[in-house]
Amino acid sequence: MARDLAIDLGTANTLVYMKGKGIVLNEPTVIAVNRKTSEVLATGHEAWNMIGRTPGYIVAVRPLRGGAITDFDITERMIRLLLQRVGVSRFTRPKVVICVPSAITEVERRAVTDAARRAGASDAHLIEQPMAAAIGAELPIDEPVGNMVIDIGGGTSETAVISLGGIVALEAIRVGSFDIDAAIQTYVRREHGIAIGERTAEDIKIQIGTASPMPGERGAQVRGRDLVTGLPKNINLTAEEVRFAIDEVVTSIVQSVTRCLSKVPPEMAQDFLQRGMYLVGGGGLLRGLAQRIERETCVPVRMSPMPLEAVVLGAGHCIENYQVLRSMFMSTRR
Amino acid sequence: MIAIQGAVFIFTVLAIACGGALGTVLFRERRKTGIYDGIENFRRHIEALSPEARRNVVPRNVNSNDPTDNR
Repeated sequence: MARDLAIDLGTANTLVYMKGKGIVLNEPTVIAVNRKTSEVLATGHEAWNMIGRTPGYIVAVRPLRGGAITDFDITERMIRLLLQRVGVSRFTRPKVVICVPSAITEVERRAVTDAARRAGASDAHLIEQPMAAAIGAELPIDEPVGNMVIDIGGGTSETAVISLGGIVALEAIRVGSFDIDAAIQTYVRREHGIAIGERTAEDIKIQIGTASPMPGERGAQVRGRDLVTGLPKNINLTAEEVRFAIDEVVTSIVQSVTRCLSKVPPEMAQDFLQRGMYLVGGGGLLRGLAQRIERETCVPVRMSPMPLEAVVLGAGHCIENYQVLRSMFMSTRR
Repeated sequence: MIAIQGAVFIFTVLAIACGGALGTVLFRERRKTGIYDGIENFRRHIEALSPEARRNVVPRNVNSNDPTDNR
């Protein structure tokens, strides 16, 4: 008998929670495929290391963009491999709860559930990421008070207000930390005339990226390919330049938080002032982001203790209490 | 003889019909939503989301190195 699973199928990382056991898998949502034979060559960390360094016949891709499946076939194969790696076989078909952005369309929902069922799940349910994040972040969502959670993922940013186990207000945009990486790539290309890969852009973001001025800022040396000569070239990039490069993306995330706050019933406004908002997701780790949101909304912002795992832990709680909490799952027409 | 067989047949049919009707009534009674069912379901739902209920899940974040270890 297979143990039921909760999967956080994120644009950046995929985490799997097994009922009664905890998180059993955590790796990048990347798959490397042989273009000629369509064979899967690697997934996860191994495939992530191949990005930008593959020969012509191998393609290392992220099958999700903006939280939605861009390549159904590859996603199905990736889910099948994930399920196999956690011990699911042809004869043991578990129930699966998959975390998805709340903004995905009915077609996208069906694509995810169909991919999971074809990959070996006996039944597939979906749960909204901000709801799962609030459960996983240990917020008191069972109480009649407003709990605000901001989930900044690789491809989406979602802000939700939750009270009494349900969503009161929600704001979601298809902008995430990959857009921050893309903004850095564009800036370096435009201002310094060198091309850098997405992994280099991510490294720059992690090393010196800030959403608001921070004490002790430093620069970084960036290696790329000169667009004019085609030769390798080094440049020095300052934290201020990176902040300028990513400002548009950060502003759109902050504006979505503000829009969510404006949708909230007035009774709840005082709850936020006392309890604050909680940041989850990898994008929330950007230095200075909490301070920037706090400055622009005048509401305290706190970091969840486990920002990267909160979503899958919340979905894991739902799979542990499947019968009682199944009403929280999103509906999909079959 | 034919009359007895006929009577047995009629009794059998009646018994099956009564049994079926009784079963249907009992099944519908059980499915009928009671006035307190909504309250009970909501209470269970909220209790399952309480920090006490969640405490069983969160500490089990063990991040096992061997995903095939299903013990």
